[in-house]
Amino acid sequence: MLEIKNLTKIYNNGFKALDNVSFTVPDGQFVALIGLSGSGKSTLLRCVNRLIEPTDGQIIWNGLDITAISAEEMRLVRRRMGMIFQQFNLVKRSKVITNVLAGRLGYMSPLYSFINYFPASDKADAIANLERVGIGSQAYKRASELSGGQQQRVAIARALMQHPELMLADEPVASLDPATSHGVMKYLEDLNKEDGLTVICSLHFLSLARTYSDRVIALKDGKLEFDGTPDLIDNARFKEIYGEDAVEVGIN
Amino acid sequence: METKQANSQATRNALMRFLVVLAIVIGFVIYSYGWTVTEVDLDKPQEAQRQENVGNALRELLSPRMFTQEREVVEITASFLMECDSADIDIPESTPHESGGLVIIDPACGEAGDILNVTITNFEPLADSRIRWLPPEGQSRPREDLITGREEIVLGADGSFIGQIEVPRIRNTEGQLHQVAVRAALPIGGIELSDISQQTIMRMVETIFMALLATSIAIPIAGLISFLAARNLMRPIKLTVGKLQVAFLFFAIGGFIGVQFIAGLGDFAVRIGTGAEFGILAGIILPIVVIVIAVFAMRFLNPPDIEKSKNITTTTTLADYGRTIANSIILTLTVLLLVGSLAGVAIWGAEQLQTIGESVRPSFLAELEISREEFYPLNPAEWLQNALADGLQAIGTLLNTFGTLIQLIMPLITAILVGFSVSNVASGLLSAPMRNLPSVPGHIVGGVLGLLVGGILFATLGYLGMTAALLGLLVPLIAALFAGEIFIAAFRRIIPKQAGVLRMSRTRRLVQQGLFALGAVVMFVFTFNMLNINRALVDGTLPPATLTSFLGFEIFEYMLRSATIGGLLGLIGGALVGVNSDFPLGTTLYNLSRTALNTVRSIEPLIMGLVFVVWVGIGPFAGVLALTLHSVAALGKLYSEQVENIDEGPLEAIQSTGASWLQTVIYAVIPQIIPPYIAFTMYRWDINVRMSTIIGFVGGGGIGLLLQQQINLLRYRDAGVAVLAIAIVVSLLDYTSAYIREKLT
Repeated sequence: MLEIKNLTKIYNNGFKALDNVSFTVPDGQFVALIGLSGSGKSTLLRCVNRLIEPTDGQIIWNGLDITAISAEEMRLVRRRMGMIFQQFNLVKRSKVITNVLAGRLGYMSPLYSFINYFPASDKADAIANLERVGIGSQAYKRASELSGGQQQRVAIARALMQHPELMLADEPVASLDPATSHGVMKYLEDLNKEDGLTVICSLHFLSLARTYSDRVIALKDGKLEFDGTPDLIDNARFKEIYGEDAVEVGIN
Repeated sequence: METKQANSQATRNALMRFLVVLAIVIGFVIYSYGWTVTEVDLDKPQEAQRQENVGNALRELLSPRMFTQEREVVEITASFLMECDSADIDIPESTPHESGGLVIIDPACGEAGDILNVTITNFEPLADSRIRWLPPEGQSRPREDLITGREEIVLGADGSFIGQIEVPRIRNTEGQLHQVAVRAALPIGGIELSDISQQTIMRMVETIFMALLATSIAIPIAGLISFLAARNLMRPIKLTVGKLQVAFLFFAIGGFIGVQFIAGLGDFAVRIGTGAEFGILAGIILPIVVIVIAVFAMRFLNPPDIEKSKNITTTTTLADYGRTIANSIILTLTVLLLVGSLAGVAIWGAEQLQTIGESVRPSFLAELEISREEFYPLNPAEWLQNALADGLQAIGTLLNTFGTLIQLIMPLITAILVGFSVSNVASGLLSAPMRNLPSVPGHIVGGVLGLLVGGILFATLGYLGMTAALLGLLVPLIAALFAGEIFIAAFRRIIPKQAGVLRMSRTRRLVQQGLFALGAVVMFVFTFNMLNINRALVDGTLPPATLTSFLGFEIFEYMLRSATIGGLLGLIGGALVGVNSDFPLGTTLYNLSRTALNTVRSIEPLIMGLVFVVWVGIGPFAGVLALTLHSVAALGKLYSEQVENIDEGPLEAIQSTGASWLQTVIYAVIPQIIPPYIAFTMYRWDINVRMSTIIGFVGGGGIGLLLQQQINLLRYRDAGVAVLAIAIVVSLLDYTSAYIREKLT
């Protein structure tokens, strides 16, 4: 269970990205995070694994207050949280398999990293995970040779290597075309339904949130604007979240 | 109201415009002054003498003596009687030379100062010739052609020439026959590279190798520093004050232990490696055994998958502590024994290579101890043997240098290695207990540790300060920085930030900056006076090396005074902030390495060359050292900028998997920076070739030395060869490196 209590983030330039946000995510839920650009979605996700240090508030995960632990302990916690990104964030010059194996780094002694050593079981796992996302044959290509959708699937495979309990997805399909988007979202849905992973996924398109998520959390100017099931978002709610001039467009 | 505003706006605009005009005028005056300072003078270049000189110099520079050809001198003569009536001698008619050349002078007798017509017919077409006057006794003297005013005369296409010479005044030769000789130097044999060209090629090769060596040695050093000097990598690195204090303290202790007690082990390993202890077999086996044992021990201690359990363990068990200590000991011993024994083996191998090389060399050359083929024309087989011997011995020399260098710096390696291990273990063991310290004991421990750390740090700085006046400034400067920070920390404790207000107010920031400045200035003046740095700075007299005893140690009194200041500062600072506040270690390291890089980079390699020439003597080695030092600084800066320019996305992604900082660097940073690193290395090599062409001017070897010699001897034609060679090599390298860089990026 992930509890977020009064989370506030103020950047050094004084910009208040998150303003007293509180909510609780039970295990196994698929949460869609929506809101305009700059509403604090990315900041919220990055506060959860402390890629960004929160200014105030608490994040309690499985009973552990992860805003209070040391950086070294946070490193150990991060191993159980997978994260995928809008820009995939693969090391483009490295091989696909190396990118996937990087998901194991938190479990390895740094000494092995000097010689780029991974146990054979990890390599087998990496291939299995690549096959799971349908690109097992691309394992020994350079990451840069893959298409956008394939790169995002590599990123999912990398996160899977961590054996995560929680999957954070920061606009995972915003750089992809509609058809590929659904492909990637389906894999996230799979992880949620089959493996029971908790997924928190920020999305631009409400239609995607309606299709895949159990629950929608909307942010507006860093504040929690809406929290409920997707079907509760009618036109009036939509305009509250996205502003008066917004019109809902679908992605099918 | 509105008009008032408009008015003030107009006034402001007018003022702005006035200021711009004023700035331009002032700028122009400053610029004009620059012309005076640089002594721009258009009169001097117009002087006839200067114009002729520069013309000659340029002509010779642009006529480089690249080739030579052997020449044979052919001479035709005509007889001349000094004083027509003084003797009754028949003047012999000129007879044609065997090639058909004939010179006739008219008149064939006369006295000093007479003008003679010289007619040459049927001689070598277009030959460069000179006319010389051969008196009956004594030296011949050159005669210039009065028509052209030159000594060198050029014969026409049909081998003919008409000119005039003056009869020289030669005493006591009246009534005797003189000869007028026309000498033509005729080329025989093929065109060959001139001596200076050959020397230039040899020096050029030396120059290119100097640049290659300097660049290659600089790469690893600059590569390491570049990570420290990259803001994006360093800024997130923070340490608690206590951890840093413990790390520093135990680094010093470990270093001391290393030098005092463990350095012998490294030396022992070197001796085993050379075979001096148990024979060479033991020397070769030792590194292998060490690696095997270390790998097995490490694998046993650190199974690759430490924790697969679902629980997040944040407590460290006793076994973890044991593992940390065992790891450190194994690593330290492994590296020490490995480096030492490999150095020893290298020294041994070098000797073997020298011997083998000597046995391969053709025996007559070995006996003569001469290997230059120009003295002994070698047949291809002999040449090959000789080249092989040279090659083997070159490798031997290289190995020997490496081995000896490691042997020399073994105490340093040991100190750093043991220091790191001890500090690593200590900070690992003590970090948890320190974190759990309550507030008040935390501040007390911080103060005590601060006292020790400050004392050690400032004792070291004091020692440096005893060596040179400018280094003496280090103590007051760093004390000032510390004092400034202490003033800020004190201010923060007395007036804490209001709860709920997250941004620092402007006044608060100003007050903090003011306090920092105040603390820094007061401390600087105080330390400056207390250590009497005035004396060193003004008179150049270094601090007295008076010894005093402190806790049973003999220590310089100056160091003790410096250490006292540091200890007090550390005590106050440590007690104020406590062991559990954050210290921006990354930013500090970043600033330190950037400052060091910029300082070294601002010293020209020519100046470094001067110093190295004093140390290692005139020659290419001094040049290599100077270029290396400068390259480290320059490449370090270029590299670190590349690290700062990388795509941050992968960094974030690798971090989010729970990878440590080191792993993040290895997996997310290094793959991204390899292409730009190669490109900048090429660029640097290119610059180093250019620099090594002139480092010879200060005695740094290479082609610059040759160039300087030729210029000093006013042999501009020879200098021209060197200049031409530099131009060719530099532009070739320029194109190549540009091409490679383009391919890479």
